[in-house]
Amino acid sequence: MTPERWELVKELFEKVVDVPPAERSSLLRAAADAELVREVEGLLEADARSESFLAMPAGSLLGAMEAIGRWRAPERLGPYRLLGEIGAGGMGTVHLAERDDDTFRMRVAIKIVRAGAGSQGLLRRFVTERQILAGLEHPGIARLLDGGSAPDGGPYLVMEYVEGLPIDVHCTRRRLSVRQRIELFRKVCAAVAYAHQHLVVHRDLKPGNILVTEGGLPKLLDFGIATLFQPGRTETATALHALTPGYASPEQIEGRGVATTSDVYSLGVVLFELLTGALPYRTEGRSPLELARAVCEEQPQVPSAVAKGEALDADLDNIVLMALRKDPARRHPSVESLDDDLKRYLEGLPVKARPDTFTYRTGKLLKRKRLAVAAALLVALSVLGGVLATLHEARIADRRFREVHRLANALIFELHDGIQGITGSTRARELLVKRALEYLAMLSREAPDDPAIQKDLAAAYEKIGDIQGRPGIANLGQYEAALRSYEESLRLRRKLLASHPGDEELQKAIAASTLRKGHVLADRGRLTEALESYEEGTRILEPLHTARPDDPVVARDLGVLHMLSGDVLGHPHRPSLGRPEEALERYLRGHAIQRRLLSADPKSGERRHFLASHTGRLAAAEGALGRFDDASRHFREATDLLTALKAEFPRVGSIRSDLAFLETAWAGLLVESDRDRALALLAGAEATLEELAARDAANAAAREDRAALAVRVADLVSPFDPARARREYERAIPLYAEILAGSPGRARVVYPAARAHAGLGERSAAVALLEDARRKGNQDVRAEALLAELVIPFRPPLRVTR
Amino acid sequence: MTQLLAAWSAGDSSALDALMPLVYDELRQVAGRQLAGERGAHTLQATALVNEAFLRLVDQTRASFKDRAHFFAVSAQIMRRILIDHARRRLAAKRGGGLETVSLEGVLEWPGKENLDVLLLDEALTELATFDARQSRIVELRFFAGLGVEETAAALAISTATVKREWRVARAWLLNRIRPA
Repeated sequence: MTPERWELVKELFEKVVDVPPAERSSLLRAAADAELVREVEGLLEADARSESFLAMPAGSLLGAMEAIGRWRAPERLGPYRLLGEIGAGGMGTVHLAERDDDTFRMRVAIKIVRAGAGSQGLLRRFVTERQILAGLEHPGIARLLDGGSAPDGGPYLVMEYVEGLPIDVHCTRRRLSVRQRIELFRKVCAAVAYAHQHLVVHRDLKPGNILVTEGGLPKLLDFGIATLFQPGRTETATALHALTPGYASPEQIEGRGVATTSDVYSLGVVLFELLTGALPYRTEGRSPLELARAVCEEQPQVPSAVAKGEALDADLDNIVLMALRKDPARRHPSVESLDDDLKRYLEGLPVKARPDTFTYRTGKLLKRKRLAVAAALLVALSVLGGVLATLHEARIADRRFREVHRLANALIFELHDGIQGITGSTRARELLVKRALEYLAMLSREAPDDPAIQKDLAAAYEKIGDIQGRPGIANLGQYEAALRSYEESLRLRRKLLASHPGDEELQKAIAASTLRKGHVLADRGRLTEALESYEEGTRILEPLHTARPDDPVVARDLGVLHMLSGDVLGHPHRPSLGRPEEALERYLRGHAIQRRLLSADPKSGERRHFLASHTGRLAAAEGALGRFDDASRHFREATDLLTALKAEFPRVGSIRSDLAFLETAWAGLLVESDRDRALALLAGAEATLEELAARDAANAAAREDRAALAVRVADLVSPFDPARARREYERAIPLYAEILAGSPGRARVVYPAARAHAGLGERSAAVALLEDARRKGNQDVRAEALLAELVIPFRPPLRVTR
Repeated sequence: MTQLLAAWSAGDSSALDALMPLVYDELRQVAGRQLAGERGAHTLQATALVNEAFLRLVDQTRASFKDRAHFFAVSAQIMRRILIDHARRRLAAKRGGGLETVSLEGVLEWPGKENLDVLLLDEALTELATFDARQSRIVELRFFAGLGVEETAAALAISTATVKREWRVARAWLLNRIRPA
């Protein structure tokens, strides 16, 4: 048959096929070509009996599909005898097996990966990770015992055999109440949190992987296994995660990186299912593809609205929906935090999760992220994500895009391996930074003139700087490197501004960079340079603020720049250059701006908190300058603001610690004129900080606050209560030793630590600290003064001479 | 993946060679999981299979609807190969590893009443492609990838009316070829 002839056949067939048989024959007879007619008649005959032919898609052909999917397991693997298949997953089958050495018998589960299932690297990864995985010893986690290679080359993993039911089935069969379900789920959280502490992310949490034993103990299967299954094929790596559409997080589906918060998400889905009997997204009638889209794009259902059994309340809704947020950074920062909220719920305490509209945030809340690693990872991902997205938009050549993509993958996978390979995460995070910088350098070479890429580069350098050494968040302690990164970010932005004069976004960004740079410098005690940086930012923002005084971002940042300039100039209780008059002048300017900002939105918690900070600064500077009445008035105003905020936002720790320090400063002003009142203020401050430190034992910032308060109290009471002063100094010493060991060279720590030593008469320890800091460029006048005090009046012990 | 799909649809036939092993691997795995899955489903929906493979292989954030259509087109060819390979192997096994002989042994169970000789179908389809490549692809998409009329139309960028018309003729021709009256 030729195509031309076939066209004729088709034409005639179509002409006659739908006409009644009587007319049909006359139409056919009209055709000249007898051969053609015979051909068409054959087709017509077949058409009449073809109703069921090919009516079902080939995929329904059972035998063939079984052959595709099935694979026969060997009878023995190493010392294990296989007893039977107990399950199957994406990459292979799971078998019950027995180790029948002479000495003991043990039942295990063996997961066999089909050879050629695209997991060549699995064995290699297993070798590197088995130690970490085998080290996960927790009653809630099924242990990984062994691994090897089957005769056909497919790797296999030997795991603790768990007899139990999937957690959802268990809850239904036992008819557990909502309360009992939450209690059971909390045990799951504890196991996941344990693994996260060991820097292992599960990645595939779902009821089928959470079995509950007869005794009611949940056991997690396959911990870290998903990690092993990360395929080595870089091109498609991101899309090849072994994931289960209903439970995988948006970032997993989209092939972005996976962090501990991805497990928080999957736990959220499991909790949703246990509480409601449904999944967060409608599943029926949806293909996996549609379901995946829904996970990434739709808002989840509200648990209480779909719960089939017991009614659920708004607090539970909030907890579950917070875990399910699309942005990993906005979920519970850790599994412990999710667990803690559930505990509060069960105890009838107010829960931390709020509906999505809650925007009140403070810097200190960010500090509380328990898993510094997760934070660093998220920052890295946001850097890469941002740059990649822009690259995509900028229609950079696909090849380039792939290259960057691959590098990003390498970064993420290598980072992950690195984190697992060692105690602590320093090496991995260094790797992260190094890779990210290499990748940035590559982009820079490729697109030196593209303003969009240069802008992203500047943003990326800023974020890298944050990882390297931004005070107040988990960082690498590489302050010099951080300064260089910030400087690079500034250089790029200044250059861009030169070619785009008047670009306000750039100006704001430059001001933000000067703020960060100044912050690092101030933290190191390099106060003159810090002041210069703040002043550069101030010079940029002032004309913007004059032109549009109502721009809240400009106003806030300018206010903060004034405040920080004031701090380095002459805050009495912070590292400063000892110029309180100039400090007061900056504080007044900042205070005026902040007052105006608040009047535009008098209810804003954030703005009230900012105003309290500004007012407290005023009070402190006025106190230092001996302006007692102004200082008292401002102390009162600031205290009132913070007290009201504390009642309104009882869980925001930074409000409480700020109030404690305000009370301490006020006590300092009052100690001579009204000692009782001063002591009462100090007692209140101490109680507050004790509570904060106890509430979160792992919070280093809370311990630092507690130590600082101890030294301040000691300084204040030493003239009239030397015994108490001694106790306070003694309390501070070990706290500071720990802080300095963890992050040496912090200017605001050096002085009080040295002061505590000096107060206890440990002169040489104090001098050593101060001199070391001075060598490293610390300009804090308090440290200078203390050093002078310790060195100059010192005389050798008197000797009796003749 | 997405680039390979784009390259292939733009006429780069070497892209198909690169795509095949990737998709083949994935389809096998998905089939295995679905067969052994807890849901106890014993019929496999080709569409679901291909959908899931697509989901797992293609970067969702970057894939367009068109990419999805291309993917189905590739998958259809692969499903065809998978089924044919299987039928051949099975035949070979029954013959003690001998030569392929009479194709009647290569029959696969059909969930319905009839049996279908896949090897004969494959031969006929290959012949059909020599004079009507588009019809052959329509059959692949509808039968081997389980696509509906509209999806097939989208995958080939033709109208649904054309798909229906061509499908009917192709089916009649194939049936006539495999099982003459």
